[in-house]
Amino acid sequence: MTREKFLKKFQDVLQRIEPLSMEAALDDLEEWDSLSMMATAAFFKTDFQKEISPDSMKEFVRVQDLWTFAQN
Amino acid sequence: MSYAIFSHTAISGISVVVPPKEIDFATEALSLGNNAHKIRRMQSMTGFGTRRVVEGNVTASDLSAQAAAHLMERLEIAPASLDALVFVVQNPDYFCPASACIIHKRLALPPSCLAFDINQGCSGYVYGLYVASSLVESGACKRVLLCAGDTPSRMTTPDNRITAPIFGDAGSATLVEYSDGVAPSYYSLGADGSGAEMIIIPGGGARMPVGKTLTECAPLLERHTNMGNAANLLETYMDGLKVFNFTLQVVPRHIQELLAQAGVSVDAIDHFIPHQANKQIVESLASVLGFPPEKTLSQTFSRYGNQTIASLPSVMCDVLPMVLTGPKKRFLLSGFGVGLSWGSCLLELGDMGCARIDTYEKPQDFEDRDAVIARWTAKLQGIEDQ
Repeated sequence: MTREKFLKKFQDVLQRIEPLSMEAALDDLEEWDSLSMMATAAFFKTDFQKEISPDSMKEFVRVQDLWTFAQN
Repeated sequence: MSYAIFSHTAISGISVVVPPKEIDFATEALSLGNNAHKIRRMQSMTGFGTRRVVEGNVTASDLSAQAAAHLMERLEIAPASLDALVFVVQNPDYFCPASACIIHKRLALPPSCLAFDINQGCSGYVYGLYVASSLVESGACKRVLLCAGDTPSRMTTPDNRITAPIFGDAGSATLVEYSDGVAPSYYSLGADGSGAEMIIIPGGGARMPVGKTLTECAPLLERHTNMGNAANLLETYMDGLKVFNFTLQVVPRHIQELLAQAGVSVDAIDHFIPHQANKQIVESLASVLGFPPEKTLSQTFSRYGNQTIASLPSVMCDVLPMVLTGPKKRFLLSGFGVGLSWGSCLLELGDMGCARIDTYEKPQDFEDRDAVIARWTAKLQGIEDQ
């Protein structure tokens, strides 16, 4: 998955209208709530076969951190 | 995991009853101060539309007894022919006796019919089928009535934004009986008590009793606010993210092990019926397991909410009358949640007594809370006996 596709898909996961940037801080996003965290966990499980534990979810600060995790 | 194969048990019919009061998710969310965009987003992610909740002191046993009465009437089952009544419930009528005994009385079942409760949540329907099938398979019983229902809406309040908009109430009844020549049914169940506090009602039991004075009761009733969400110690607490994580990590592996034990592939299953927690969980689970949307029976949560113990029979009554035509079909049922606990079973079902979901009608002799208090007050004062 490319950076651009990841950003678009993550925007859809969050059900966000405005586009996302890699630099965006997750806590600054209105949509970053418990529902979005669940959707993000499901997104990573199905698209990247990666599991994100609830504790590690809180360690992601920026969208870039999620993208980096997806690639590793 | 506990695996079992039953070769002489059949599910002969299912009934479900829901209360008449309907709450609209969007209307409720609006009243809690959410804006239209947020409500659309929440609905899109969770899939919740409407849910049914009990009013007054209507209990899970009321709903389930009515479902049982409908089932027995439809299948022409004489009360004397039942050997056991098993009731899966988490909000019982009383600490004692078992609510199964209340239903036993309501249905006028004979003394030869044993009755007991099972305290289990969203995995409870599969746990109940497992116990009922075990009773039949062992030869102890020929015919078991499995009731499974709950009133989770009772254990939350409107300003508890985490649990209040989710739960719907329902009661169900399923007839499990001995039969020769049925296809084997496969079961797998498990539990992980280390997650016991992920979904819990912390107060009200013996660990944190309500108290014998108003002063002792006060700490349990005090409301605590966290990020706009208010709750007290007598309400359901749920760590949604951890539960979701458990669902995606443990449940798929458990289902894959069951399928391997049964020697059945995902392709060979006609319908997957997962617990109707919400859209996100149902779709994620189906996706991880490789079930296409057309094989995953869902959307019941959009009309009735998360009905916990009764969600699986509700899906069955919601859609089985439409899909159970022609030859028998293979179903995979999976329940998971509080405990943590999980259970799945692989069943072959054909045309059977499965009616559409009914609406509860309060019986004429129904006692509301004030009447119950008055009756018991009189009993304690010795007035009733005079």
